[in-house]
Amino acid sequence: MKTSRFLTGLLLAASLTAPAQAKPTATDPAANAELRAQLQQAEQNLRAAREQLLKSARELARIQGQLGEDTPFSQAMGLLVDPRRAALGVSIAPGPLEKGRQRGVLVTGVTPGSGAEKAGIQSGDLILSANGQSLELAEDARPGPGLTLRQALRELEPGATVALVVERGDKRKTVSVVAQRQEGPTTLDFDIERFGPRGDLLLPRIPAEGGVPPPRPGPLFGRLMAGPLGGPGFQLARLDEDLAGYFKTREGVLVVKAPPVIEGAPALKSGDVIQSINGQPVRNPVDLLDQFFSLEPRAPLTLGVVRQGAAISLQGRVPEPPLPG
Amino acid sequence: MNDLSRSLSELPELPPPPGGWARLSQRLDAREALRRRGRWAGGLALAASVLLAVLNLPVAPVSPAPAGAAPATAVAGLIQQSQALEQRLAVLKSEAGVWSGALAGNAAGLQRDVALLDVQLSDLAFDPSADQRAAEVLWQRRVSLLNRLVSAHEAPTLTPATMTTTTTAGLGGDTAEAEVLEL
Repeated sequence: MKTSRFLTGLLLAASLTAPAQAKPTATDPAANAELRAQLQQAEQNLRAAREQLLKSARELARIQGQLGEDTPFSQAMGLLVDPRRAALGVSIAPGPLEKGRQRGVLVTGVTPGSGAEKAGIQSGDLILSANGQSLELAEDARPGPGLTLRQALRELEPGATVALVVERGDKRKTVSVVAQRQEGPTTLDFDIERFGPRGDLLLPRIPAEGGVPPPRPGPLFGRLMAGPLGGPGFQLARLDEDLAGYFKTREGVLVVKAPPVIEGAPALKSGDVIQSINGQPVRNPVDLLDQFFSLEPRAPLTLGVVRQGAAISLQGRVPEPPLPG
Repeated sequence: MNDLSRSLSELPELPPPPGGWARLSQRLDAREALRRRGRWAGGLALAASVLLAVLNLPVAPVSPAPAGAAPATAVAGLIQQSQALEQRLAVLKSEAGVWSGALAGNAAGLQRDVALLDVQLSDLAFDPSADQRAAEVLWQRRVSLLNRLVSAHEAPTLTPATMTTTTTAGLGGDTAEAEVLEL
């Protein structure tokens, strides 16, 4: 097993997950201007490199997929660097064999915050079909259920909906799962470990207990998180029994402190209770922020709010986060 | 939440029985050997063993694991830990008293990392020639990341008297005092 530290700087440069943070230190205006010009040129170079990387990553994934030669590393890199790729948010394994048939695929893990989690899928569920395509196949069927499902999900883009028939215990249900990208603002820091002929694994490093670096802005990952929404100035609280009585509603999430989260509408105030976001009911503070961060900058935003006992609607747009640097 | 996902979420909780994953894994490991003995016999035996594992029925003691089987056993244990952490996380999320943009941003980073592990695990799980140590390493990381997420969601506390949000552990070690809410 070969272990190597991923060249964070290289990845950062390639995927543009972190902005150029350089700030001119020279006090001479001419030197400042020169540094600014250099910075601009470097940013242009990074954009070009990113485009090339994305193009290559997509091409690699396409060819590997056609050849049936996907590797774990290529899958992970594709998901990481390609903003058009999304996932349902499950880890899967072969389902049981029954009477010479493979019964679907087994959900061995549900990615926290994913579309699968939001749809109520749980580890241990059995996926029996996807978008009408049965995953209950003869034992010797090729491709088998796993490859069939992964091929069906290969071209998923953010927002795509997949209908899954899921079995839990002796009950079956059809659920709609929205594919989404899971973005994070943290600095990318990975190990690569090599196992056998199928190549490398991309292994995220585990942040030390009690502390990770503060979120860093980036043009691709977590732009909204890098703005005021992702700072300590956005504080939300659950409505407990006492607070519900005081704020005259039992539904929603209490705003303790809010930055400007909506453009073109009156600002949120401390004491507001957010009950819905773009028509979707808000269940708890974690759910609300998840929904905020799944929005694109400049996307339409409507908040259903109770203010001093009266229901109001705030309609505007998601703010554009500040440009890095 | 739409009607379908709501109806799914209303299904009865069926946590895996203690040791269920280990038993299931042992039986799935036997797949190759069973197939060598014949498809029919193998299929029937595996179906029976999966049924036993799922139903948590007592089974005869298995033979000592051959050399090289340890990673599979380790993986089964890690999957079990991972699922327990997922259940804990779901409870913590639904019961969260307070949450902030900073904590959510950091948690999103961890969730993104879990997603990267999950695509790799899904690939390896269907590769009969995959090195079990690779799966073990991936599951170890997944469990560690889930532990961090659980810590992050356990950390925020709300003191109603002052409406102060304090994070004492977990992600970011962020200690942030919110503005006092005038009640």
